[in-house]
Amino acid sequence: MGKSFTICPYCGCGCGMYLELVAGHMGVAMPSQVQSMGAGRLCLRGWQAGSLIGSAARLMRPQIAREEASWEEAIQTASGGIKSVLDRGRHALGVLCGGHLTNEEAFACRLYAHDILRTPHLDSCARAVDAGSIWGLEHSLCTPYRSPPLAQITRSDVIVCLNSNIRWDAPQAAGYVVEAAGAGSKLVVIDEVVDEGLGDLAALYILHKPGFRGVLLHLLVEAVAGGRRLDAEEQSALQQAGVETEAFHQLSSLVQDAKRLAVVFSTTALQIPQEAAYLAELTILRQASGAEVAQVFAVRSDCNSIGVVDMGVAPVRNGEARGLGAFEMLSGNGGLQGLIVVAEAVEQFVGQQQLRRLREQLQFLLYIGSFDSATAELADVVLPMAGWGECEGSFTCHDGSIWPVCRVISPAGQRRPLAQILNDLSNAHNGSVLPTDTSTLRAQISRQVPSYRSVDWAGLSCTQPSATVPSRDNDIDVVNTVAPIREWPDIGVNGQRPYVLVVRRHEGSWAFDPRVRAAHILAREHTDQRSPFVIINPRTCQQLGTREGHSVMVSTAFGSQLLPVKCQAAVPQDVVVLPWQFRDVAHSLAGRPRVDDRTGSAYHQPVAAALELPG
Amino acid sequence: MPPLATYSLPADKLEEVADRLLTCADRVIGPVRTPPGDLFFDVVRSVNEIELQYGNSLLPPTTALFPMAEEIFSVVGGTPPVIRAPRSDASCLLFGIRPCDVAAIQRLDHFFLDGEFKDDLYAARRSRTAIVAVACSQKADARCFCSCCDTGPFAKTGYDLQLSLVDDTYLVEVGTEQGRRLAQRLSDLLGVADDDLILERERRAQELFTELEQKGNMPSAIRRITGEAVSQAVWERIGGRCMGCGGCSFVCPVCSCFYVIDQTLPDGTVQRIRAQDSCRLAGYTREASGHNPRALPSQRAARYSYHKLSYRYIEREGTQGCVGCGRCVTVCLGGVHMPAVTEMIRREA
Repeated sequence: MGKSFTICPYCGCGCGMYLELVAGHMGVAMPSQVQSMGAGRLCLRGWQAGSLIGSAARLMRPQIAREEASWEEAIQTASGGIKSVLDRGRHALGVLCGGHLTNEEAFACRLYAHDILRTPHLDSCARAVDAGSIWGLEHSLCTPYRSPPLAQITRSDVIVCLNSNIRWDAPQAAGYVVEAAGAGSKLVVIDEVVDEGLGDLAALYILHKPGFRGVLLHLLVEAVAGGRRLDAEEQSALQQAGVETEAFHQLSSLVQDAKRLAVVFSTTALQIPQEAAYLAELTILRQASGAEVAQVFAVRSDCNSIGVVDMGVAPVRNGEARGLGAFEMLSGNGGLQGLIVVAEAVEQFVGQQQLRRLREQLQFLLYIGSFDSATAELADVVLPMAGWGECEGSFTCHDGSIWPVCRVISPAGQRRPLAQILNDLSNAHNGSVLPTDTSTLRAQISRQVPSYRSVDWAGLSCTQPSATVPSRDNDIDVVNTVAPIREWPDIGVNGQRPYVLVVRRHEGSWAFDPRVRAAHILAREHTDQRSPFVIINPRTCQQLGTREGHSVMVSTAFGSQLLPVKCQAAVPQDVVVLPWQFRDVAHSLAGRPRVDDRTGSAYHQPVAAALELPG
Repeated sequence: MPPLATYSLPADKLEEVADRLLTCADRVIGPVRTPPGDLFFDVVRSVNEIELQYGNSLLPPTTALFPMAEEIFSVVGGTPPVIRAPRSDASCLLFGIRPCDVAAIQRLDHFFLDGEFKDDLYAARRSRTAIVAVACSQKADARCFCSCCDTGPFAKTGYDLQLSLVDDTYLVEVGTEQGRRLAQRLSDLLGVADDDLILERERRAQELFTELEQKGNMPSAIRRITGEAVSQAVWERIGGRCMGCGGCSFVCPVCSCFYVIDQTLPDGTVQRIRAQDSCRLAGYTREASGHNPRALPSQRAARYSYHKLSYRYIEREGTQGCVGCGRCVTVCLGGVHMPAVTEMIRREA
């Protein structure tokens, strides 16, 4: 078999690539130049995606209580566990899916959860991560949101980019931003740290105090809408946000003068949903006042975030039924007695401590996945499913286009396709039959998902993707609309706690993705991203009388922790950055993330912190 | 080095030449388009698949000699365990490769074969590989810059056969005895190359050479890098923009970094794999103690450029480490590919 076209299984950029099998068992990935999303570029994860095939860290055999078992035993045990939970009511069971399931797999999950288990609690962590941003955008745009193709970023004359860490979260989008800036577009970066790589290309770098971006964006909307200077109250707000007045005026002038405005951000960058609403308003204002085009490019958190939601993997919220969102299920407050986790290492989102606490509350935990993880370790039953490269399917990319996902090798070991596993579980549950082959699933998708009715599955091509109509296309009320509110954060910095601790995505924010840990070079690249640390300014380090690699005691109102420091000049002197991936540390220092009722998304707010030498 | 022999070939006979060459080796690797439209150097099954008017392929043809990943050996369980080395005696013909890639193969030959250690896997493949190059009669790709690296538009050495199009005739140059044997297989199609054809090829090559981008960044960068005159600020700017994808190394026909890993297959067999790696990645130089001599992106950017362009390496390896194929320009997410780096260095001067 030669090179097969497919889509990268990681972030929401949707880069096209080829997958080729070498030495019988190992995959090699290489970029596609003709596919519009990637245009020949890949990030490190993309380049190394091939090593997922052949990785020894894959789950190969079913397990019961971590002991290998036969498929029959495992299915019977899983079915028994599910039944015993359902005896307490259908609301006692939740199903949580990964955002990198194919459309076909996600649809099979929906059928299983809704038609067989009849639980309203079905969600994916990817949807919950994206939901705040998408809610904000849809609230302002008054229409369902799909991003334009990322390549269109290069057509802009002014680009407003949120957070320079977009280079880690959505590298392809960052690549287009760099390309546009290199070709003469004016780049504005709005960030709470000084620079993580886009700074020298930026015409304007707006540095604001952590937690105050919503305030800043609100003021920007006001300024652009009114075409005026700020009044005294607004000036004071700007001061609180830590933004220089002159820089702000330059920013509003640039936006007001933009003929082709692009607003670019990763959904993981936002701190409150309102930020997305303000950004969308900016584009509406410009579009209404003479700009040729003004667009928002919001890159979602997972490769098939959109498709998974389109297929109905979202909490049911109609009538009296109120399904729990992913973070509500994982918080342990939803009253769940059993949880089925499909292709998601949930410890990445809530940390291992919370996962263990949740496990103690659950009567039964089933893990269906391709790679070993802390979630698998805690599960009563583990069912190994065929992963990326072992099953054909499709992904829906950020612009709504549908692309094929190829199969280059048979499922390794005893792994089975997800649809087959769900059918086996259904059969054992009540004798029901679910579709297992891709073509039947696709036919059902076309019948049941309105915006996928016209998809030409047979002609699903690598160069001309099938496009869907952007719509909230099922009976699931994914988002509600409420007016955005102006939030004035009170971080509580004082003499005792003079620093601001920010939980922020960083270079290694995907270090705990079991797929990354399973890929040789990626695993090597993240060996030093797995032990917790904080990042501070070198001068802060000097003032504290310590040096890089040594530990400091970080204390907040929530708790204290001794953590080694890394130094980066990009971090302002009064800021302490805690990389997002250290979930347990984040919970102990910044508290539980605030779950937004409207969207189910969860955010860490910046908190005041003290740094002291130990002892 | 002058060719061993020269011939002429009517352009309309090229397909027949390719067809015959398909039978000259167990495996012919040439420029082939995938159904979506990307061009790769891949196994040619029929002459119709070959596309010679192509912009440079994103992955270089050198992957036929130094693959992105390959098995070194495997250990099959049992008592005693059996070690199996994947050895193949299959011959290979690289058809239609560009002069810049011919230069890259010469550099790889030097690295893998001429040093203190000879790489058996590379040596075995290389000894059974013939190279039929096609000179560039126009700029192959908007992004390539072979004229800055003295590797094009036609190859001076390193090929077995080289074809250069002049109007409706190819000048066929024989570079090696292996090339002579290939030419013999085509003898009924080849004619005498008169001096006019050779001179016209030279004239056109010169014309193309002057047409190609001549910014002069490369000599300046070589001078400044060799003299360690590039400021830390420049390396920091380059390192700051680098997104650490490693793509520049993975598509570079000259890069030879690799990583060795063992993986266990579902049946218990242990495979030792060699996979291409990149010195732009932090983990490449991290030591077991945790210390990393090139922990910062700026340090890695500097090291990469030193290895490519410092005269110390040029002296040791015989040529500079960039052949001007322009592939890094396509793949670099941060816009700090070789032409951008050399320009940043020259501008600083």
